[in-house]
Amino acid sequence: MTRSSTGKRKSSKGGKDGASGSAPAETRLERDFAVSGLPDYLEAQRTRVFCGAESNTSAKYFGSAHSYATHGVSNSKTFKDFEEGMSIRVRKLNEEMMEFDLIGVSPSFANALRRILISEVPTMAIEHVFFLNNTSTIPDEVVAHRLGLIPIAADPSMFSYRGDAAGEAKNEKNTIVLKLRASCHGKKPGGKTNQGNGYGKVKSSELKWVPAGSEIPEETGVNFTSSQDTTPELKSNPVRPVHEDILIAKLSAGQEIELEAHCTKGTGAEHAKWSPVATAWYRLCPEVVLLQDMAGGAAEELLETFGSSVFSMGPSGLQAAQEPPLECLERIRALSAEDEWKDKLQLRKKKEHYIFTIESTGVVPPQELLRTALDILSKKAQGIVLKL
Amino acid sequence: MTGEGGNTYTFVLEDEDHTIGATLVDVLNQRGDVVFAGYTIPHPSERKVQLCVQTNGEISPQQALAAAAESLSSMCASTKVELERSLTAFKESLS
Repeated sequence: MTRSSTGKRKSSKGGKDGASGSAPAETRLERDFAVSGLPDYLEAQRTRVFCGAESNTSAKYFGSAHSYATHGVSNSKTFKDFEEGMSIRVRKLNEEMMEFDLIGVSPSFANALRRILISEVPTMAIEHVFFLNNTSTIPDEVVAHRLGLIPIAADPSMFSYRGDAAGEAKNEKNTIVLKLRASCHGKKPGGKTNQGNGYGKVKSSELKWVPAGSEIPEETGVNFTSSQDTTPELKSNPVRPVHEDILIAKLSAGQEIELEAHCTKGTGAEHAKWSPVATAWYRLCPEVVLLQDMAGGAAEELLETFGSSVFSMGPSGLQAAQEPPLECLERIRALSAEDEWKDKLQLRKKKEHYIFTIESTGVVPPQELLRTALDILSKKAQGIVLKL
Repeated sequence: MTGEGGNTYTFVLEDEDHTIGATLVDVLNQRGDVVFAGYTIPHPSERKVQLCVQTNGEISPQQALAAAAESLSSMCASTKVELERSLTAFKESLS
């Protein structure tokens, strides 16, 4: 782990090496988030969740400055402490997904980011659909709903929110116009001999961007003063559906759909179609702790059962890996509940170490979503300062 | 914002929810001069958070909340800096 901590939270490895087999289980602790002056067993409870057979213990978060007042120890944390203790390590990153370690923040901070990612980071999504013709078997409102859920690749920062409901006119700053025209020409209704558009599948790739605005402005009330493709950013990166193969409807011979769809800016709080993530979640970093020095039969049994991804043989006996693989965790937990192993092995989770995953819908890259989420949280806090 | 005077004050945050309520309470509790901080959402269909703060008298609840909100804002900024650093480190590790 590449954690760099200084100051009063600096690690002190006291207590660990003195434990030789018979010491209480809790004293076996890698003291990486140490609050100075706290006994080992309290420090273990402060930083770790213990995974027991039926339930987890010590799952509480000790965030208050006065948590250890009776021990005469201050647990207060300033911004400087936060800055020194907080770190991020990116594990995986591509256009749709990002997995990273978020270390040294409170559960509420991690959860605030998760909540904001899901429901407060804006995107563009189809909100109004004008049907010119729909002779398919799917009702207008069902098609409209399906269209709404299609992720539209358009940079939301290029657009503004449209004021209260219908209060503000739709223009090139707050609306994207898409059109769809699909028909099925064939001999047998619904048969495989349909020509043209395959079996008559209407896919998201049929949605075409109309940068000049609505083609039926009198009906839709959308008036663009300038074409959107005159904006360099939109010209070089035209609006399109993120995925081209999303099935919207199936047409039989002679059926057709013709419509115009208008995208507006919104957030997941109003409707999930505006949510920029498939989901965003985190879990606590697991840790396997050997409560006794182990060698011989028991050590070999563990090595054999779990392999080298969890345990390895070091100079001073068996050693547990920094982070055991996800698929082994429940087996370790189950094993640690057995009489034979409960004094030897324990599964724990680190309380201030989150393994955070952001799965983007593809509209905005995940790292950009995280930046926006941090900005939104910061702006919320600033808003409170201003209103006081 | 309504209060009870003295060292205890109840703030009402309009158009907010758990996102800011829980984070602010956490940041407030981390302060040595805050005796108590807690929040409640009186009714789930009203976007309103009641935030109660009690200080030890060294500063007022208003000052404590302002400092906590400032601190939270700085935390976001410093997390963003750390994010950029880790993204650069990740890209370097690939090349």
